[in-house]
Amino acid sequence: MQLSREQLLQAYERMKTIREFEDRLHEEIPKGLIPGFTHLYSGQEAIAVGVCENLTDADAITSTHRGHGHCIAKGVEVKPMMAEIYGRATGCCNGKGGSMHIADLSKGMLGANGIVGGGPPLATGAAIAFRNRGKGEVAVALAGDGSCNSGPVFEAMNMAVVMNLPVIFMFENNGYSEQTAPAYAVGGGKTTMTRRAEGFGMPATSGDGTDFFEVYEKTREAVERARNGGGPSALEFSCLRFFGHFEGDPQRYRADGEVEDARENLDCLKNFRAKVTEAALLEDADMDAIDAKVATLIDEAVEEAIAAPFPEPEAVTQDVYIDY
Amino acid sequence: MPVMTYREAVTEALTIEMNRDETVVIMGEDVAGGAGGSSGVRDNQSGIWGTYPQFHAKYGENRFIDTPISEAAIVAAAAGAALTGLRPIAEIMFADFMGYCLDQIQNQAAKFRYMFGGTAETPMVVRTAYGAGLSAAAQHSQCMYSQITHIPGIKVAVPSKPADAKGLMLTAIRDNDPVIFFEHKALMAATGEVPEGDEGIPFGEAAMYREGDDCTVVAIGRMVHFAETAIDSLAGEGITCDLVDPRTTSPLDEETILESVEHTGRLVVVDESNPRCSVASDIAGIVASKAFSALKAPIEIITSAHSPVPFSPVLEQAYLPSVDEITAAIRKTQD
Amino acid sequence: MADMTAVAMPKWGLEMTEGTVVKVHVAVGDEVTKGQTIMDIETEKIANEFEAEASGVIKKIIVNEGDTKVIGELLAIIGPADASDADVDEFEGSYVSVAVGRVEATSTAAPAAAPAPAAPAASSAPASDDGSVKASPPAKRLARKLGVDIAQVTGTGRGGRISADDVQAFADAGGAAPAAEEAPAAAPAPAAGGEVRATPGAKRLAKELGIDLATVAGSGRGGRISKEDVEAAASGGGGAGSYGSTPVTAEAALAAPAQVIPGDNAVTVETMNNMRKTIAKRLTESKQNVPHFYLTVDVEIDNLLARRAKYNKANGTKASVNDFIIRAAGLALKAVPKANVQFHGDELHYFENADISIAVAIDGGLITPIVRAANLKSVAQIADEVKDLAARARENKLKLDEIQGGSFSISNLGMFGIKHFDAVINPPQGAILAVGAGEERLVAKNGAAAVATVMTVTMSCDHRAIDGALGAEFLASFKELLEEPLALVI
Repeated sequence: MQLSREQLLQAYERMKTIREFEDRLHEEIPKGLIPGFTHLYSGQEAIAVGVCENLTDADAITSTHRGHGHCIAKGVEVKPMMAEIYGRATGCCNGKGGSMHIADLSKGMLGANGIVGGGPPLATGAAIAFRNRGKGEVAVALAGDGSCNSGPVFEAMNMAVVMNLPVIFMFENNGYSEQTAPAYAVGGGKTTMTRRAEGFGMPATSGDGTDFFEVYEKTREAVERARNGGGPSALEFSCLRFFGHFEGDPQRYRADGEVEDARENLDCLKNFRAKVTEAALLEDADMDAIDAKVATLIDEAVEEAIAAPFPEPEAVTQDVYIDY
Repeated sequence: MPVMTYREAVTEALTIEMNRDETVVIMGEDVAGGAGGSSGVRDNQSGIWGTYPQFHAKYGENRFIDTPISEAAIVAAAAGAALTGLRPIAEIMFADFMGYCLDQIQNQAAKFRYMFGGTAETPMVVRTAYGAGLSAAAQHSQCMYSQITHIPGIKVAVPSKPADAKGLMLTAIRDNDPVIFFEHKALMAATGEVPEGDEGIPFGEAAMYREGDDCTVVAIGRMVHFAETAIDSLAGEGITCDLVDPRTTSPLDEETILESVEHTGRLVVVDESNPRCSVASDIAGIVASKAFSALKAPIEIITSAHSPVPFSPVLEQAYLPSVDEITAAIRKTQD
Repeated sequence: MADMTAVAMPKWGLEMTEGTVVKVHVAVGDEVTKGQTIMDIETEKIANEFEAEASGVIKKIIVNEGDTKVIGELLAIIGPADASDADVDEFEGSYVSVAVGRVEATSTAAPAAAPAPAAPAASSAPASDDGSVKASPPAKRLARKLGVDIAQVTGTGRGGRISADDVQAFADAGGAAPAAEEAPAAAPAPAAGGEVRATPGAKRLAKELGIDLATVAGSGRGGRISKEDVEAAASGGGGAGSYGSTPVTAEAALAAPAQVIPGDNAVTVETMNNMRKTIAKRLTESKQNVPHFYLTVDVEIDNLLARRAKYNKANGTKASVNDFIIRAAGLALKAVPKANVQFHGDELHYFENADISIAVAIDGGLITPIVRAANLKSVAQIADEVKDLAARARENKLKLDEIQGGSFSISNLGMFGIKHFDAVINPPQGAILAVGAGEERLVAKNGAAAVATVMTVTMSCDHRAIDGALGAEFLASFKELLEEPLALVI
């Protein structure tokens, strides 16, 4: 299916925004103004954007601890996200969640999740709501290879099949779950999740996570299936994350040169640019303009976040309940 | 006023809300029963406690959902559905199974509103059966409400009487925060007057089932009945008691408890939980710190033993609080 | 008896305690095989077919259709065809249910002995609930007790719920019905219950005693006033004249609205306000419990009057005769320390310094602020202090430590022309001095008639703490100081 020029530009812009956002955080974090744990998504942009370009605000996604890319792909605004990561009152969660719990329910982003495997069962639940509503909305669980052995994930997949729910399980195999590679931890070798999902009784396919177009197309099939009452599907796409599990991870489990090589040869932005220019869909100038625009946006986001106020102490006990 | 059993009262509340609001859905194991069975009969179990008679026929597959045995997925699905517009009631058959779904209660449902800066609502109910006394043994007899009460972001109801079961269930379903609803399995057949209509009982408001001047007894769940027996048996000795049933442990009606203690000056807390970090020790701590000068005697705390629940009935009897223990404790406060 | 099988109510499921036999499919004499349905039994949750556990002949059916039986109860007996009726009866008679029950809310203690006829049979009342007003159960109880119409109370508790504190505050503000037995007086009371942090018990007691909580120091958590604090404020109090010692507020002293009852001789009925009630109570207690005796001396005060004039001129002060009297009493108590005493049951408390309570008349009553260590203060200091205390007393601004304590009181009715009177001791003080007016009298001096300004003072003593000789010693010292007043001004 051909994407329009607008869609291509948006896809590029979203991927570029994620890359800039994450790469910039990597520079800012050592300066000490960003509290807590941060997990960066650089290298995986094509998966988040390839999936979300098939979705509207009414569709829902669940996420992982590495959720900034999912947020941006789903259309969450960058500046409130940055403020949230800096723990400021102007953050999209009022400073209450931080990097690991960034959410924007108005955009159907059901929150980054600090519990591995926490997302897919929630997505199954959203799918129940969507099924009942009958408007063709779908839920996509963006999960990592780390969750591939999690009991609740299997429960969610089984339940999705049993109830024929409009949910898609997208497993992003980014090469490592924390410090252990799936080659070791996920029994059964390559594309195990695809075969496990098939074992649960749903259609499943796999592909190259650095190829936006492959992600987009295969997700489109799954989403259409779900929208039309065809039930759940699973997808397994591979790539390599450019940064560590968390910022500060010495990454001793990676061979020298692995990351440099990935940035050179497994860069979905480079791949995208090459493809669209070769096919004369877009020009370099178009994408250069986007690069400049994004750079400015990220600069502003960081500046404004640093200048933003912290939440008041009273906020500690606010929003624990709606009313108590 | 109509008289009905505790279980019927719960059913009535569920029915009222299922009829009133089509976003209310029920999900759990064998809530209908018979899914995939060779007889083809659904609604044959109606839930392990029989609280959903004919619900499958009445409400259909989409709103009344038999699930596989997947507590984690059940509770998480309820949470995800709550975030996206439904009002799910998930059943966890035995409170003991909370271990399977504690992450989904504690780290997901309890925290969405807070983590997401007040932008999320998670209007879900988890109803579960708790308690010992039927020789269901160690893994099917625990209370669990003490651990759950501890979690900020969760509300906890523990009704003792049919009227409270109905009223609190109505409120739980209508409440937009996550509620865990604990029903004692040995109370399912208990009868009592239950008001007609659809008025819910607010959370955080205790009931006082006896009034007196000499001692305050705070009791949770089934222990309310034990306490009533104990208190009534002391009438001949001229000892009268306030019996406070908090009805919800989170939020807790501290005010009624403290005012009662200020009136009587003495406190006995009766809780079927194990002793450490129980709701009983929590209430005792609250009273000791906020009404110390009102106390004329040390607080008496009565809980089950610090052990798993034993199987043999003689042992189970010894494990649980007894009416005699409660009576003795009340008398002791009068010394 | 061989091969007899008991057909007992089965236990199906965790919860079942009893079942109802809906239908009996067999009759006595029928042959049944194991597994054959012999009854239909219904429980709360299910209806099920009950199958025979053994083959044989139905020898006896003990249950009727529609009966409800507890699990384990015998329903029928299956046995061999040739079993006799006697066999069957024997089996039935020896049958013991082995069904295990549940842990129930039963008491194993012997039933409580019947209350002795004279004993009031107090039982914990099932809480009554009118249901319509949102109020906590203790709030409802308090409202009943105080005669408050709870529907009129504003709730500040959870979700606007009325708490017992709200009811108490409402009652304190005069909202209780006059007719209720335990209702406080209808007098508009000070807003003691409002902003002051006090326990309900403290508020109740303060109200009873007419104490303004704002004047009570709280020793409880975060400065909260407890009942003990109020009791301390009331009982430690300085001795007063005839009018009790409880600190009261000006507002509390206002009389309740009068009510005229028609009759031959029109009578105006005035309900006693809290202050008067307290005075009445304390005076009665004092008169009933304290063994008073009275010692009277006449004091010639011409020298005192002269001394006073010189003193005031030299110091620019306006000390009154009473200020000199206070100093004299202070020094006399130091000279006769055993008279500087409080009575406490088995103990007598003797004090180092003389803290003297001075009666001050205020609107509708009396209050007795204390001049501390009168023996250490000059007349000028005493004069200033008394002036300040009196002014603040009239404005109802005395502090607790200014009215609590003291071992000796002075009441002076001289300004009213009273020649002599006997005052009532204010416990736990040991004594009180009643001072009359100074007047010119004929006296005998060295056998000749003379005129002197004479003042009669009477000391009432608590005979448990002070006996005659001691009291006399004090008065002698006191008289000497006043008649030779140089010592008072040095």
